[in-house]
Amino acid sequence: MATLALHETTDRWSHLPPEIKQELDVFETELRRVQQGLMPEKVFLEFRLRHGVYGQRQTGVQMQRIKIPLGMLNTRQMDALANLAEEYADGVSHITTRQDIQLHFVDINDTPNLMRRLAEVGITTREACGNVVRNVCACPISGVCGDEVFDTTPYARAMAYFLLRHPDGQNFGRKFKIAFSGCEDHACGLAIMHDIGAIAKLRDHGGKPDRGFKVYLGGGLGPLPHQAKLYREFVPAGEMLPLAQAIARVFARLGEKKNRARARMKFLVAQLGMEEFTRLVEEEREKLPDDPRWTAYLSEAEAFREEPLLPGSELDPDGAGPEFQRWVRINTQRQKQPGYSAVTVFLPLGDISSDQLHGLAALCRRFVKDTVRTTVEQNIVVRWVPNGELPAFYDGLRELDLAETGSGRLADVTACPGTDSCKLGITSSRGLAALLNEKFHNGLGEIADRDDLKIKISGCFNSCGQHHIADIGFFGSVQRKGQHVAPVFQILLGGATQGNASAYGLAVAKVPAQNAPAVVKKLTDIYTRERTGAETFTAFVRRLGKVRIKEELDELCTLPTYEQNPAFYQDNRQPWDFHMSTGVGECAGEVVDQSEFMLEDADRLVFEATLDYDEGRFDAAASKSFAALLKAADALLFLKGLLLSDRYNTVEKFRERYYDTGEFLAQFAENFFRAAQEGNEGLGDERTRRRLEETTLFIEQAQTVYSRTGGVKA
Amino acid sequence: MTSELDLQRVCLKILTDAPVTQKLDPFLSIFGRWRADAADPAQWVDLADYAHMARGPGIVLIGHRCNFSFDLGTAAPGVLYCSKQGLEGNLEVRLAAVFRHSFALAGRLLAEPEFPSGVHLRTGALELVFNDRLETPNNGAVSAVLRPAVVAVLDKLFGPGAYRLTPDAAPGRRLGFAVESPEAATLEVLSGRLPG
Repeated sequence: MATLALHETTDRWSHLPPEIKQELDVFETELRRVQQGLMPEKVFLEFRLRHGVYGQRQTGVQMQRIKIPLGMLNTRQMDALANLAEEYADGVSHITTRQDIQLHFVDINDTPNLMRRLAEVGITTREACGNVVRNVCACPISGVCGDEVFDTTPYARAMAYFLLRHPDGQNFGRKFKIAFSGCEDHACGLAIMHDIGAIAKLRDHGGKPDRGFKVYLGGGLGPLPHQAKLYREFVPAGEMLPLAQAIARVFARLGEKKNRARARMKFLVAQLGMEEFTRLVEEEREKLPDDPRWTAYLSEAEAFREEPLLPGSELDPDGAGPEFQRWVRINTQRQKQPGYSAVTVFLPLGDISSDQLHGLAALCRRFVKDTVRTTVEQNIVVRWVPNGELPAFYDGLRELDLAETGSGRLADVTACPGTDSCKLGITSSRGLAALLNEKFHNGLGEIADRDDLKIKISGCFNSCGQHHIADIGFFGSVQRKGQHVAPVFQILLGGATQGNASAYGLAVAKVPAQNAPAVVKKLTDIYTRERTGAETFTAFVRRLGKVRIKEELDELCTLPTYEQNPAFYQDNRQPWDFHMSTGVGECAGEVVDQSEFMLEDADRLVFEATLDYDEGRFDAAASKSFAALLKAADALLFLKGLLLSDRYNTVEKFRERYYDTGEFLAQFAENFFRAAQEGNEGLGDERTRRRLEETTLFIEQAQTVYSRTGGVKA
Repeated sequence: MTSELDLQRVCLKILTDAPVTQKLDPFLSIFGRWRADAADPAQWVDLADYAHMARGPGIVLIGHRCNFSFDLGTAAPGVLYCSKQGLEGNLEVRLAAVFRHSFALAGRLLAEPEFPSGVHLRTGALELVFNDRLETPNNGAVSAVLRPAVVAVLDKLFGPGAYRLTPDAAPGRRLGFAVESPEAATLEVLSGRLPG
């Protein structure tokens, strides 16, 4: 191996913010610990999920989900993502239905440096997966949309960063999702299908408009979709963060922890009823200790404005050809600011290659400031393009093969990863989406541009592809005939993305996977032929009735035998015989309560303290050792209902709740109290060593007490 | 503090005369079969189908040790091999291994009955990319260290002075070289010139 003075290795990441650097160092330490058998795999599973590392269907590779709050990206971030995709994945960045970005086929040993390189450009993967507050979504045209009440960007962003790493968001039974929308009517925010859905509202306050949100709670898709219930017609903006914190506390305390299928907040809301849930939330809100972050951002939020790079201008209506005109009609939207447009870069299946992403970043640097957003429809929106520059922008996109029309049209199909990478996938949702994409270019071209229908596909019933809210939704299943099993799709009709996901579809029939494109064609034909006036597809389906629609689809729903047509026993774009193979999904993560996490963290700290001690860094060893003691004590105090966000004194409370009551061995507790008194500096070799030994014993005793209680009860 | 250069991520693309609109379905069938070969040293994991992308990596056969694809990601379609781990020895030995593995897989691909009959490999037109901005950043110092190893391997392949080596100096790009040789030797002949 060549020895070179090519790069510094000791402090390569010293430029990262210290707390981020430490968080990622801890991630790497925990990865090595689990690889050495020093950490339970169950705990590491939930730990890595909370850093966005998700095991794929294929053995030994990971999907890395990267949290992009509100889908907001700048060009440095785009370049960094492109670099990571080509070096650590397969050269493709995939945009998800919740505005995240995913890289696939990543080696877990690469994830620490991958995360550090993201941190260099201000991106975290923290809480991208797992039983935590996931990415906060928002309308991608907030601030430039002519129909919005006001720009929700600063409020959504404040929510995202307030809840990120918040101690009250670490002990849920399942994930927790939040979305913001600037208006009631459009589909951009999909607020009603979230745990917390916030829709911008203004209220008259002494002659002045007061900003706030209409808030819905307890929505969610999944196998059993729930529409969120109205909580309040108006919650003042300054109350949004404490409200979310109070909701998180109630969900953490009362949400189901054992039955994973009923652990989302929607089930808690349904079980308690909205009135009781509201009462509990408001009671919790009253108890919250004040936090200056709740309102600190408000004055800046009111003043928040995005700036264009170039002056606004108008488009020469005669200046370009029909292809360009078509692209303008379909892929651009006039902003409320005169002279500018928001451009949607249509990405079939949400995929963009590293070369394209680098090219798009370079193009954006020429025309806009850092005003790029991913969308829940798996596209990218570039805001603030001057109208007069649209031809040049279009030419730039064409050079990158990114000028395809189709955004917001029938061809803009949404799909989850399905059997391409997900352990829960039953059928290839991406295979069907790819096949439809191919057909829209060749054979179904005449319907590709329809803007009155949406298709969404999931590879199983879990609805990651959001099939419930599509006009035509598909979810994957199987059908056996004789000795052979065929991939099929359930067809759901009547959902709606409009009105923030205002209607959920219902299953009408099952169709062989090979016939799904023909079903799309048939349904669009019937709709075209028999709709009345401006009737929406949802209303049309209701009027026609399921029986009639099923009759129309009957011939396509028949599965031939294997002998009659073996092609029906292959999935779309998978030229080999289908076999059903699902594993245990990681969507639900593992229920690892906060105490268990904190005890693991205490173990990790004492391990690191030992390394410091071995290197003669006694002060650092003593300090980490004491941090481990505090962590273990907090873990037990959590069992007594104390929350870190209550900002209590750990030593004092531990004495009161465990020492005075005799629940913890007195000699070990006294070591903890003595450590608190003597501090961490200048202890020297012998005393530091004793501190380490005492800490180990304290943590062991804490583990014993924890085991005796059986953890936090749901 | 210095570090040792651990060269693992290296990509080699053999350019072809295929159009950028090349249909990729044949590779779906071919790689669909290959991925099931558990004994292959590449340790195949699965394939990733990006045929729907107008300018994408095509259909990528993913392995633990390398990825292999018919790549449409740039203006020059070609057979792309990317090593990920498992390289050992000095820089020249590692680079030679990348060329050898790449030629072996490309040869196997050409022999598949579904391989598009009109597509020909241009064995004298290669793109070599060091696919690791942390380990092999695109700067003069790293280039100066790697270039002798690159030259040593290419000298064996094409003969000293019988090829042109052009570095990719564009900022932000990975360290890489375009290789052009007038010789159109077969993959077997080229492989036979490599040590090991």
